[in-house]
Amino acid sequence: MLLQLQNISKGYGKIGAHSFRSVLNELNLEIDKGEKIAIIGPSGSGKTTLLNLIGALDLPDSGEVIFDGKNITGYSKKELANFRNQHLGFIFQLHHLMPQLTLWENVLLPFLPQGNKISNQQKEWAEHLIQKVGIWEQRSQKPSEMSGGECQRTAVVRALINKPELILADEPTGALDEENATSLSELLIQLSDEENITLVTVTHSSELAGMMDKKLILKNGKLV
Amino acid sequence: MTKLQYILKTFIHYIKANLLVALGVAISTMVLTGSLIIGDSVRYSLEQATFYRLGETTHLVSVVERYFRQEMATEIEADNSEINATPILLLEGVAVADGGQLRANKVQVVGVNSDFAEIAKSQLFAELQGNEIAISQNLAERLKIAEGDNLLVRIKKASLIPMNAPFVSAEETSVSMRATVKKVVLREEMGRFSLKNSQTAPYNIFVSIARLNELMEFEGKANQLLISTELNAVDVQKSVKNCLTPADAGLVLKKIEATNEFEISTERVFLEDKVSETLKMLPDADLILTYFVNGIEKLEDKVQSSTIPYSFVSSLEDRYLSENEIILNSWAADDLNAKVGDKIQLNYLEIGPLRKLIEKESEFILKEIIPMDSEWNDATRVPHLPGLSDAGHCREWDAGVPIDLDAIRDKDEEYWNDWQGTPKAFVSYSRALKMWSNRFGNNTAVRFPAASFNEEKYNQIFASEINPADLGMAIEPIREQGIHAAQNGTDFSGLFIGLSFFILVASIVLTSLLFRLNLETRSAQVGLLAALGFQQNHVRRFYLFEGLIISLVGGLIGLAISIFYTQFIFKILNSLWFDIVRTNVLEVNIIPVTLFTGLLISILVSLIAIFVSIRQYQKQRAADLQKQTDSVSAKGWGILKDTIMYLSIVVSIVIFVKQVFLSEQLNPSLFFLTGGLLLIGFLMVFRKILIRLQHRKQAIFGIGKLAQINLTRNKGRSLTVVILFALGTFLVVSTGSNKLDLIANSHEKTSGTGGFSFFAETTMPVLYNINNAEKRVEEGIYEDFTALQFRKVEGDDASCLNLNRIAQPALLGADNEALKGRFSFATQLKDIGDVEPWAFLNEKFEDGTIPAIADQTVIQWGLGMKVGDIVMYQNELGDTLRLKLIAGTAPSIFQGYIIISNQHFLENYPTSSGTNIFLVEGDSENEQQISDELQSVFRDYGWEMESTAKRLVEFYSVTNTYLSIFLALGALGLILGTIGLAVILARTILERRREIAVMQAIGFSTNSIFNTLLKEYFTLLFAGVLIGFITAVVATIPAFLSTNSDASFSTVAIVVGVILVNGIIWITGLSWFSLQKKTLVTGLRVD
Repeated sequence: MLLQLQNISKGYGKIGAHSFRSVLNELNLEIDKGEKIAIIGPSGSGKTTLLNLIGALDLPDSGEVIFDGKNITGYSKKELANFRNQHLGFIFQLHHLMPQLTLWENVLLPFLPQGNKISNQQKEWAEHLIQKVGIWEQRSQKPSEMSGGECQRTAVVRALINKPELILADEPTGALDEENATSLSELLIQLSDEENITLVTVTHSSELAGMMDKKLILKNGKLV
Repeated sequence: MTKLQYILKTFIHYIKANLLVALGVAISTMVLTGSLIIGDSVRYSLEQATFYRLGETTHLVSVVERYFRQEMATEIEADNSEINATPILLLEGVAVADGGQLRANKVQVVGVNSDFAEIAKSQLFAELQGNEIAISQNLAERLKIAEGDNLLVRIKKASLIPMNAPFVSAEETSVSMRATVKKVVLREEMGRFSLKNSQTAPYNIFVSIARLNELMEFEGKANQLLISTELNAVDVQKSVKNCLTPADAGLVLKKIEATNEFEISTERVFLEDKVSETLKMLPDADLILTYFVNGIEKLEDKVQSSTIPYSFVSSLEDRYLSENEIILNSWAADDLNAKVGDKIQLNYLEIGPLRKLIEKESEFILKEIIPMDSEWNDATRVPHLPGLSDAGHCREWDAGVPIDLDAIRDKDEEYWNDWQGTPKAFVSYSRALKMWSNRFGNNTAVRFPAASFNEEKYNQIFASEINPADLGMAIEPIREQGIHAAQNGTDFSGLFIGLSFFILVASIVLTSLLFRLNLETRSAQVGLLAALGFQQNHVRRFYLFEGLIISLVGGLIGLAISIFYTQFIFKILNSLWFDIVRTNVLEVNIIPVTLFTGLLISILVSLIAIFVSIRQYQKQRAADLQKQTDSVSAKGWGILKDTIMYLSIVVSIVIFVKQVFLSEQLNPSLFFLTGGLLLIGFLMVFRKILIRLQHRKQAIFGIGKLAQINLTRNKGRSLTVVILFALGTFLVVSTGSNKLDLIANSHEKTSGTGGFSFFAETTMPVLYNINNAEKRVEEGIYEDFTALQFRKVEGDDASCLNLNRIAQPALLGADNEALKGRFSFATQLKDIGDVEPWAFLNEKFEDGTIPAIADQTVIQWGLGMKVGDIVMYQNELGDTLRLKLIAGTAPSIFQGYIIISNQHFLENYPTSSGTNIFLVEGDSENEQQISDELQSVFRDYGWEMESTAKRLVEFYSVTNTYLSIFLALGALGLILGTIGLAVILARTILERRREIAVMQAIGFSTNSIFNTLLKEYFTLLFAGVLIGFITAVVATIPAFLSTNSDASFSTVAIVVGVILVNGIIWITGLSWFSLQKKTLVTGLRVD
């Protein structure tokens, strides 16, 4: 068991106040290593919130997030940052690449929090991934000079660069055309399989959802 | 890639936005470092000026209207080998060239010898002979003369006798010399020699001291000793005292063979009281007071029967006759046909201030008639009075008082021929004192029987009892004082930092705002970095490091500009002052440490501003950043902000109420503080309003509500615009209202001119009252005017034109009664109650201090004091004169002086010669004629006259220049505000592109969207300007209430108008421009 969410509740606004809106309600989830899960649900159902909680970008109002047997809800900010860097990879709907950096630099960015000089081994790994997703020729280009699909592929490589155990993808194909979306979906699945990475994706895309091992629907704050 | 590379790449990628942030840093660096450089440079320039004007001089031994032996210098050097002493004879004069076409008044004429050459390190001064002179460069420029040219120098006649003493001729007030310029001396060669603490370069003429003595009919006299030593003032004083001899007090010892007595008299006619008291300590001292009377009459039943005109009458010891008795010599008794027991009357003149003659008479009973061979019939009892005692005939008398030559009979001429001035009558010493005691002294001589007089004992007692100060000799560490005055002068760094404070704040606010906008642009990146596992402090460090690069770039740009900024300000000040202080005083002095300090402080302050921006931003949690939502402020901060808001307002109201209703005088500093606090309070109130509006529920949803929502959506930005405009308006309005219009009501008595038309100053003193009708006829003055004359003791210039810290400004003695109802007072001492300060000048405080008045500017800036403080002088008698400042006038022509009443002035400076300062009041239509006539009549006195309004403007031109600079800085603040507004406007519109597009898509017209934007930003503009305006008015209430601020209202109104129009144009323009773009298409395309 890689990830376990126990009785997670999360809402926005002041608890008890009229304006309080509950998003997740006593939610439970268990994900095994290497498993690929799609979370679907209507807009505003709390998909992104759930992803943020799994990714330790946000904290639940109650409940526990247990990753690889460890309760990460009790982590300090420093530990959480370290956790995200070492164990997780993120892919967003918009690629969120640094416009000031080249493709190559964007990919290497996650190595920086580790403090050490980027090793040749790390560089080789980056090159391997970039080659693999087919954007090696663009490695010196900046995001503004790349297509949307190329940018999103770069984002995928960036998510994989630290060899994470879990990739969290929030509508990874949402901003792409059909062709690019299909290609990226396949790439994600392929890479997860090859590297034995657990994949959790929030998506509206039935195509992507169909490629997953499991589809979970978020409804009324619970997964069904 | 390394972290540093990442940061650098980020900095370069966002270079435009970063340079905009750097602009804010550059401005704050420029203002801050510029202020520091200005302070350094002013101090440096003043210190340099001290070295230029003093050369090697460390101490000064000086006397006023007295003289001592030149040899004293050699004797002091012999007494203490560590002292080098240089005697100079320093006088004032007028220099005329080009046949009278070119003239320089108030010229220093310096008599020098080879010793001065050593101090000046120029052999030239030792080589001056006869009528050869060396002149300062500014004088050469003024008179347009060069080496080898001739000029006429009219020098104030120095006299060993106080010029206003009784029976001293006032006819000869100047001596002329046609001189040849041997050398024009530069400032490095002591061309700027001056003993006054001022950066003003005097016009100097150097001549040999021997020639100057000759011209003054002196022998080996000096009036200043320039000391060069490592020792302190006490050691110098010790040596001066050791070398002081009776001759330095002007005492003359001679043996009177006829009576076998020794007599000690003085070159000054009357012995000073301290000297008399000392001489009385010698055995068998016989004090003598001899006076010149108009007539000796014999009275028969109180009716005058016969008169002897113009005679000397002397005193005898009280043991010879009682107070109502008189003794006549046989010549006088015969002439009057008087016999013992007859009533005899003496008619004499009491000589008051400005030679005001008061006729007096005293009655006596004739006790005795002494034969002409009596030992008392002694012409030597008469003091030496030039023009009188040495006249060949009675008709040649020049006694300094009117002589009716027709009254002089032949027999009087015969008596003069036979007996010279031999006294014809004798009264008791006590009675003589009652009649003729005067401010110059009570005795004309002291005699001792030859048998009991011991010269050695005399010298001993003189040495032990008489101190240099008793002879009006002041010993001062002049170099130390000069450097102290330079270092403690107007704190220009503080002044510029203080008045640039708001621009500093504005630029920091702008820096913070722009950086925050930068961050907001990259908000997704911040979240991403967090998602990638960067810790918060890592991210903060990235941005802080980027901020450091921005600050460094901005700081370096600002540093370069600050040098130009300083040069620009000095150029203004130097060109403004050049005509007044006759030299380019200010030199830019760049000290690397100052540059580094300025840079460091600016970077630190900017970094703090940037750090706060980042911190505030990071308060939004990583997840929130992803969703672009604001976080709610921490409750604790909210309470703190509320507390600051209430405190600021309450404290400012308390100070305001206390100042307006409970204080007797308005304190401008407290009002400024009130305005500043109110500004903070109001800005925080505005913040509070924004928060309230955000949570307010409004039933009707319309354009107004939309504008309100938008206004409160990003409170920080809205508040920043308001802050920038409020600060700019505050600065511009407060400086604008402080700018003085001194011409507007200059004809009024309560204005800074006192209602006088002209201010005049003479080099030679005018010894008489120029309002006196007879004197006017005598001098050929026919225009109708009145003049108020002031006595003057030289001191340092304490006006705004002098940047040094002054301890003793020139002192004026005034007819305070004539000043009643004139000028206005900015401050007044509580202790004197409601009495008009002028009326209080004749009073004396219980502790012996004397009331004095000065211009408030002099008190505050020149002296660094306040009303109620005490200024100390050494008076002519060597005592400490303590002046309590009882009031400070509003801006007036008295800048540079301290004023006391004539009564107190004459008590302390009894031998002061005449008047040097004049305020002239006449019919405004005849001003030109009055001016021409006075210029002509008093030309040889070195009469320099200017309109009072012009003088006032000249003084305050400096203040107004500062204010103009600060006004310009205020304008810069407004430009910053405008930049802030424009950036925020552009940024917000860009951000709201989608929202505007949607509004357009659902049917809002461009006009209604435009109106929404205008409502939103006009609210911010008007709020900012209103807050700045109200608080600035509160801060400058004293200036608004001042009599000199008539035109300031219009200035302020124009300034506020310009600010509003500027803001309106930018808002309208940018809003309209942004709506003209294809917002609908571009905005919706994203979606």
